[in-house]
Formats: sequence, C-alpha cells, structure tokens
Amino acid sequence: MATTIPTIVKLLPTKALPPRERLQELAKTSARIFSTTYNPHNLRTGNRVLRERLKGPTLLDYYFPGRRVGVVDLRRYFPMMSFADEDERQRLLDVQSKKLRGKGAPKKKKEANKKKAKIVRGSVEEYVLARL
Amino acid sequence: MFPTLRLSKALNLGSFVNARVLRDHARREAFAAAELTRQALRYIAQNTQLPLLQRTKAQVDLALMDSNTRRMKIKNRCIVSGRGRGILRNFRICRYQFRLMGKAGDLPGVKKANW
Repeated sequence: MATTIPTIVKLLPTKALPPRERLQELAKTSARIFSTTYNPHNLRTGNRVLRERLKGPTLLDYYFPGRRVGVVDLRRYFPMMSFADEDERQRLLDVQSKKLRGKGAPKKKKEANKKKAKIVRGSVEEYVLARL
Repeated sequence: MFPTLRLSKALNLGSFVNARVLRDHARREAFAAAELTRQALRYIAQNTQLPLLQRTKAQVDLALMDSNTRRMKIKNRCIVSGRGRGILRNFRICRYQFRLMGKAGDLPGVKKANW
C-alpha cells in the first residue's frame, strides 16, 4: 500500500502541519524504503492489470478438472525428449494380434462394383436377368 | 465455423460431450492460450504514462484479436447434459440434472427440503 499524505497526517501528534512539500518528501522516502508505489497524483499506470491473476487454467478445468496434460501435450512442449504413450502402444498391439487371428480390418476395394454399373445403364430385361 | 479454434489432440473430456460443449471447451483453450498477450496489451492500453500512439496501437491490437479469445465468449455448460442455461455454478450442472442427481443422492450434502 502506498503511504498517502492523509495517513501520515493522521499519525502526527499535533494538528500543526508541516509544509506540503515536506509531507510529500516523507511519503516519497517511505515509499522508497518499504518499496511501495509513490503515485501522488493517482495516475493510471495499468498496474491493476498486472496484479490480476490469470484465469485461463481455472477456466480450462471446467469440464474435467485435473486431467489437462496428456502425452501429446508433453511431446508438443518438450520436443527434445521422448515419451512413451502406453495407451497407443496397447492399441497397436491389439490391432496386430487381431490381424494375426484374421480379425483385422477388411482390405480396401480396388474397383467399383461392375454388376451395379451394368444394372443402372441396362434395360429392364437385363436388370431382371442380372437379378436372376 | 471456427477455423481458428484447434482442440488439443489429447483431449479427453470426462463429461458429456456434444458440439456445443466442444466448442465451448475450444474457446476455453483459445482464451488460455491468448490470455498473456491480452493482459500485456491491456496493460499498455491502460497505462497513461506511455505515449498515446503506443496505447492506441495496443487498443487496436486488442480489438483485432480473435474474438474467440475473449473471456466473455466462454459459457459455463452443464457437464452432465451439456445444457447452456440454468446452470448451478457450484455443481456445474443444470437445474434438472441437479434435481435428478440430488434426489438420487449423488450430490453430497444435497437433500430435498421437507417441512
């Protein structure tokens, strides 16, 4: 807290005041000694903004508190280090074992279905033949 | 829609998720990422000791920042149902879920009044 002239005046034993300059000097010295702000004209220095605490972390914690950092985040912020992603490793292992058991994902189709194309272009008879 | 918003790839929200919840969470991430810049610009803009040109420039920069980095764009939503209105801030759920969960005894210390 900045020591203002009124507070100093309150502390004085008598009502006979020293000159204004002396009081200001006193406020200045006290501010210097206790490393407080000396701002006699109450100028707006924007310190209010600097004093505000950052709200981002709290707001981020809204939907799922306490689970903000994952392996991907670690890798992004520390690219020089390596991190093991246990979940991803387990997933790859599962995929591999499924493939070995013949239960993997089906192969991609290389050509479009020829039968269907014929049906669309062909006449009614061809369509019936194709259906039979 | 939100080309500037990018969600963390390791995102695992434990709560109910729909597009609106995701959008709100993305806004939270955008705000948290830009908060420091925003505060620095606010400091420059509000400091009357600095030259007028610099302060004006800071004001313009603030105004030109992505609107999704604003604090006021963030809205508290229900973590159980994703509802945007009628949220009890202390429980982070909406009034209807509060009623259901309170009745079921899922909220510690919450009891239906009876007199």
